[in-house]
Amino acid sequence: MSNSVLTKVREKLVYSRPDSMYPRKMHYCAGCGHGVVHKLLGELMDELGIAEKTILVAPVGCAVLAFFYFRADGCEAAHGRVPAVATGIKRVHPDHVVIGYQGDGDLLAIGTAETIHAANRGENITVIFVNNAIYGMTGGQMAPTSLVGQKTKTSPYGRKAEDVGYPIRACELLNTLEAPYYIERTSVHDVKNVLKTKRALKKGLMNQIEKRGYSFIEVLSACPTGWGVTPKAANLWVAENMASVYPLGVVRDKGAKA
Amino acid sequence: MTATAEKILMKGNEAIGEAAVIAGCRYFFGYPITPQNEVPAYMAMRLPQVGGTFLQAESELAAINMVFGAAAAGARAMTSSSSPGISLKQEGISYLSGAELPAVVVNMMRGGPGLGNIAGSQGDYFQSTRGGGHGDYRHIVLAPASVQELADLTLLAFDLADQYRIVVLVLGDGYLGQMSEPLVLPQPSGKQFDKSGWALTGAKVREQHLVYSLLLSPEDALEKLNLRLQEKYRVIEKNETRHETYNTEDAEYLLVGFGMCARILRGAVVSLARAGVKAGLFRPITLWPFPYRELAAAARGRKKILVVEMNAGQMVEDVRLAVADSSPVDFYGRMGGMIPEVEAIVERVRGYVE
Amino acid sequence: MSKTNTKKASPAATASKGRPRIDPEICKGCELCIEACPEGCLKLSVHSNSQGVPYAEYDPAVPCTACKSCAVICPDCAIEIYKFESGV
Repeated sequence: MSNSVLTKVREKLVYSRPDSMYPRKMHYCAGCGHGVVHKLLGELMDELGIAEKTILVAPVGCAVLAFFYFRADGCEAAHGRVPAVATGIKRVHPDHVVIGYQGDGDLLAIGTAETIHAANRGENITVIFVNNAIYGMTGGQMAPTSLVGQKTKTSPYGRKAEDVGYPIRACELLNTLEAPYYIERTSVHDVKNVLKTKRALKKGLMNQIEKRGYSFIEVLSACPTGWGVTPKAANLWVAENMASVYPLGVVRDKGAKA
Repeated sequence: MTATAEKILMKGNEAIGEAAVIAGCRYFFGYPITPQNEVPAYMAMRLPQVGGTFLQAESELAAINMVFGAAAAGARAMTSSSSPGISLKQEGISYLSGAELPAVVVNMMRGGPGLGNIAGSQGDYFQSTRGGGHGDYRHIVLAPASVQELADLTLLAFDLADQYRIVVLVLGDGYLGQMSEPLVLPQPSGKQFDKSGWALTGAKVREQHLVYSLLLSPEDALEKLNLRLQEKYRVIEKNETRHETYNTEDAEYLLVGFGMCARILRGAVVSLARAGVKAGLFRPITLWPFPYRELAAAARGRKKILVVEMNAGQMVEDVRLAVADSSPVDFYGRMGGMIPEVEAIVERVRGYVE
Repeated sequence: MSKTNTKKASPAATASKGRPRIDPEICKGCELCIEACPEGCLKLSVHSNSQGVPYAEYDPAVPCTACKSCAVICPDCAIEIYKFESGV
């Protein structure tokens, strides 16, 4: 409905669903951060023209269906095994863009060993880690990244550190390893940070394309359903509670100009 | 002039590695565990020589998932381990089966359960033939009984895996792996398998390829997959059973054993013949698909069937299924890595005669 | 409970520079676009989509600067942005 009735106003489409994404409604809950990360990934596939040589490895978790949304080849790894499957694929197709996409249960609970060892090998893949401090798909259980005191289905009285330990900081953990080329933590809880996330994802993909080695991008993400709050409140919680436990920013960038 | 094929002396575990290379396997993901260590060690040395990739994974579990990735990408990939390590791979094998990916897994069995020991054993028969992972799936199980067969069956495993898009397990044991015997290295079959319809190679000018096994909708999507898998298994059962018989023409007793045990039974058959007792040997080579029909035929008219295994009695159940009530089936076994001796078997059979 | 619009349209912006187009069937009513819009152009519709979800809606009375914030924050690619070209 054009705004001005008098003059014929021409308008140009300047933002829409990325071509690299199938026009399908995503299955994520309202306000879920996964959808934002998917959209950014789709935009980057367009901009870098890599969809046709991308192979997306999806985890077991809310993002288990991730590959249905991209015009790229994809496969589903057993829970926690994305980095291993991605390694197998990357070794067969060194010139393809292999993306490991995981949630916190997949990457930091059952898949901790695969995470650390793919990073330690400096596998030339891009790992996108969506940290929403909970197991979403299975209905809201405590994750390795759940905050101290955070109430979940399996920490109904709030996570007790003396009983089940503390939130694990994946970026800092991997930063103790020699091989990783680029490690950054971002968030998608507001527009500014979504754009930062896109820049980080782009760097992670470019590093792989230029064969520089292992890139790891952790994205703090809201889980309104799992946390039992509105999307708006969830993003606020990310900003006010998660970001202090999980500091945002570049943890390591071997490519950064000194 | 027939070229006399050159015989070489090779250790069982290494023959597996060389055969895999001959078969065109260029991706091997392994993990240290006795008594199969020479397989990864050989591949670590050999694959770089042929432009292949060897990777020691952080666990057997990671290794089978690397195989999953390489197979999904369209490559011939293999992993090997021994019993405890194979237990860790069961989930991955179920995923490979659900996603219909071709892969070769080698199990050089060792004494169990638990940490067990590092001697050879046949205690993983149930796990191998009934499936140690979740869900209705089968995979081919080949049981070599010599270093020559370790090579031949490893080569065969890759063709069967690609032909049926299935996991093929080469089921040896620690003794076979550690033995050195002369063999003739097999020639590649030359068969080609077109994977361009499903392999993950990049969705260029084609729709995306997806390799996965989560089937949520429509409601019967997973059942449809299972029906298709079962249909495939029936075809394999019809076409791919393999066995060997020895001295069964007029045998009154039939000895049944696979792998290492079958060699011991061959010795027992010779000893029994000297003692005037006519016994023959039936050796299944494929443990799945199990040669039920062939064994039923071979068992007909025998006074008694004796199954000998290096376990508490596992294949004996399949033998009973095959033989039903046409002949009585007896079992003799040793566990914990102990080897059944020819004398004990001869004595057991002679006991039938009195 | 629809969000009451407290942001006033800035006096200087007499005309919109563009407009968002929200697909009511894709929108899940998460309201993040409403929160993100610096001009307060968006609100929840009184109507619901086929999923029974009240979807976000653009109020043309509030000038849109085509800044794309709504589309950037949208988790579902439900929003397209059109920029008006200053025709002669």
